[in-house]
Amino acid sequence: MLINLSDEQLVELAVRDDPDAFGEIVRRWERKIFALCFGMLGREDEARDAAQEAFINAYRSISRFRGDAKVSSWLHRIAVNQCLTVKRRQRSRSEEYLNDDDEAESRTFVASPAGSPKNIAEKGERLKLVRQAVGALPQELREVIVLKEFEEMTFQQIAETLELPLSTVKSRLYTALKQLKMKLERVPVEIV
Amino acid sequence: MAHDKTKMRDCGYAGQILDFVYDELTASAKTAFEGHLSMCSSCTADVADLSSSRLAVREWRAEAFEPLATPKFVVAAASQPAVSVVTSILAFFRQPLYAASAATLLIAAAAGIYFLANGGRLAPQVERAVVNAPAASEKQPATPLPAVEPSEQRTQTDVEAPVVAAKQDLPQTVRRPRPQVAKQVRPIRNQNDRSQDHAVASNGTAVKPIPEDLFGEVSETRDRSLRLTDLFAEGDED
Repeated sequence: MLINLSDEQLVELAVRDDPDAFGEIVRRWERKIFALCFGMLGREDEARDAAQEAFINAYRSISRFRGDAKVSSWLHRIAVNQCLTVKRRQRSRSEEYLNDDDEAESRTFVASPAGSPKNIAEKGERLKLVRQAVGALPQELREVIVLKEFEEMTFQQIAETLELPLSTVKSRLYTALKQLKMKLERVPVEIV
Repeated sequence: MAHDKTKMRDCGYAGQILDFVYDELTASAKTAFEGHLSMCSSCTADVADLSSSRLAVREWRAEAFEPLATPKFVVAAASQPAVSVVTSILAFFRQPLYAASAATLLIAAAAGIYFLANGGRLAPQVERAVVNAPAASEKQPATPLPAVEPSEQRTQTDVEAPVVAAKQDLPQTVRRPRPQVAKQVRPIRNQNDRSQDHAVASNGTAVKPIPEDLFGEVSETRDRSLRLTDLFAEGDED
């Protein structure tokens, strides 16, 4: 029965202490929120923890959910804020993260079984560079490009999620892609 | 390279570059933009740069994220929605049994506070009447206090006993019986009765009366001297 309900109806049920309703919301959006957190943070373990925290925060604040925004926008905004919180913590512990960066690479990227070891190594290096380049973008640029590439949102959906004008979203995405291009010029990107 | 700048240029089609790269243009707009690209090298270079960056990010996503299994997110029962204190209190009082219990407790507490604030007596007004009883009995000994003196056989010691107890319990709320100083009762002076004219010194001794016809305003002087002696007499009493 819950599958047939809209997100807004599920939220109404969840507000009335129906845990199954919120569980259905989680099932619908967990992949998207996980992808968003992965794009923002670049590491699987951090993305998993951030997504978990985002869902918990959403559940705790569900009574304050205003009906004037979509549930998806509301969830994405909570997830973006959670990722920014994680990033702030990382900055305060930057030395610790620099030390185990190589270990994170081995956990994060899954090499394709096909291809020579040389190609696998080159691809791993290139993906590492992309991850670092995205991670080095300013926060307002990074969240726009992640919502576009990982969430595959339209410009209008991004504008609603971030509560920004449409022109600002396009301008930020243009700037983000341009800065990425400059950072990635050192390594040729194989177009697939 | 003319496209190193990260700001959008204004060539009339700059606002459509991203829409073209992400395939969000309508069919007619897409055809028009493709026609523009054949004439605008800067827009063509922009499209190439943006597409290159976009594909790099998509490749990263495809290689690093897509193989990952989605974790199971559990919102445990422990992470209940945050409920404000006011909401909790209101929810508590919505339950009739709890509401009745709370009302009973409130009434009992109010009664207890009232009881303590009045010196452990349930009828403080009556108690005050008892405390003031000695003075009243001196003035009007024949008038009994109906609330606390049901029988006329009650003696003076019976009346004083609760007064002492009340003093020990709560001296703040019980008025202490002031020692009754017997005031000199002065007879009401008759202005026309000259036989009562006399002067009294501060020590209470009588002063020789002033002759009436010594001055023209004898009566007035005599009255004034009497008033002064009255003041002295009251000062001595205090």
